[in-house]
Amino acid sequence: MNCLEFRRQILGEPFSKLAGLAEHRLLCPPCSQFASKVQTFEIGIKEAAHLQVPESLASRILLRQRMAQRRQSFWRRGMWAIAATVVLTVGITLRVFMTPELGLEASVFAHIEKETNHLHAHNNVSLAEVNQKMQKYGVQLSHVVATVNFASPCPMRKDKGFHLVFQGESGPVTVLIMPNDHIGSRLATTDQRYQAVILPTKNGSMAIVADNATDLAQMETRLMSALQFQS
Amino acid sequence: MNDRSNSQMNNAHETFEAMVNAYSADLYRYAYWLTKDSALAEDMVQETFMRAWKALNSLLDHKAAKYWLFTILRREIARHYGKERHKMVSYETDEELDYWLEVDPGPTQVEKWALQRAMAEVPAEYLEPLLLQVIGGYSCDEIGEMLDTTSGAIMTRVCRARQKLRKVLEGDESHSKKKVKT
Repeated sequence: MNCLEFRRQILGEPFSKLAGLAEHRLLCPPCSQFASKVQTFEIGIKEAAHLQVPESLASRILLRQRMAQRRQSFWRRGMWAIAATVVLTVGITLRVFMTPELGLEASVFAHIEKETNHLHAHNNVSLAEVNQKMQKYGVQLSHVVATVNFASPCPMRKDKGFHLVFQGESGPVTVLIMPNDHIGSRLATTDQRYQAVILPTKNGSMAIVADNATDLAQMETRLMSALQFQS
Repeated sequence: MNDRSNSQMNNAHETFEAMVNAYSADLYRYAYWLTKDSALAEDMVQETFMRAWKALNSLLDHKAAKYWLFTILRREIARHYGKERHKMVSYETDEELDYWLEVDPGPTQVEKWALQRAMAEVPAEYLEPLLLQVIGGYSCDEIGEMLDTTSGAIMTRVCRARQKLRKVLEGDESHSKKKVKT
């Protein structure tokens, strides 16, 4: 390494550990003096560059980061809540609109299961009152077939119909008048708890449901002679 | 949030806090010398750390944190000044330098003040690599990589920076001393 190379290197990196520098410095007093001056100057530059930093700079940086993070997590939680609401709404909507329609038999049993409280009603509704309520649905009873414990309009599978609960010999017997829900011929069916017959009527169908075959048969016979359907 | 996420978040906080404590002062000094504006320098350092926090996951080696932060800060400064950056860093007025005259006015500070005055007169093109060397502690090779140029080019620029400082200092010495006495 010659003097020019040494001085250029020292001026570029005053404290360089490059191979050959130390050796040249030992052998060349003028370059050694040059290096000493540059290094002293370099220490001065370092001290001059070392400005006083604004008080609490680090604390302010950390504070800003924490605040930003809090805002971010707040919005993230908010977005999660919105997303959850959207998913729930879509789920409910899909469930409502995409649930497959029950068959007629299943819908009859489901209706009774859903409204089992009516099986325990004891309203003792008069024949006149029953006929008045059923008039709108084109159905009338010509005479009393049994005590009527419950009589009320009720939404059926296809249309609004009528829900009756008679007192059978050994338990309640339900009759569902189902307008616009047609069936070709009499259908006898059962589920785990009830026995039922579904009969075609002039404007739809009618189901008679009891928890035993005797009450069912008895009520079917009585109703066939008493019920009058108007078209 | 589960335990693992909590632990990761705590680690991130610890890393970030350590980075702030270790490097914010040097980053501020670097930004100040290139902007000559204390408030602006602090804004840039704050912004640098906010960007660093958001991208902390991309920092795979913590040993590279300082280099990474300097790179982010350089981009911040470049973004602020755009192509006009070097024009912004020019001569500082006596009034602005008076701040330094008001701090600890003792005889040992004379050279330091004179050097600070001289540094304010070195063009950014030369001052920037010098600051990276003096404040950042980087070699010419590393600065060359950071500034996307060769080690030789950096060597030339820092040599010129020192020569410029020397010349300014020699020509300005009497003025600086006179200023201190006032």
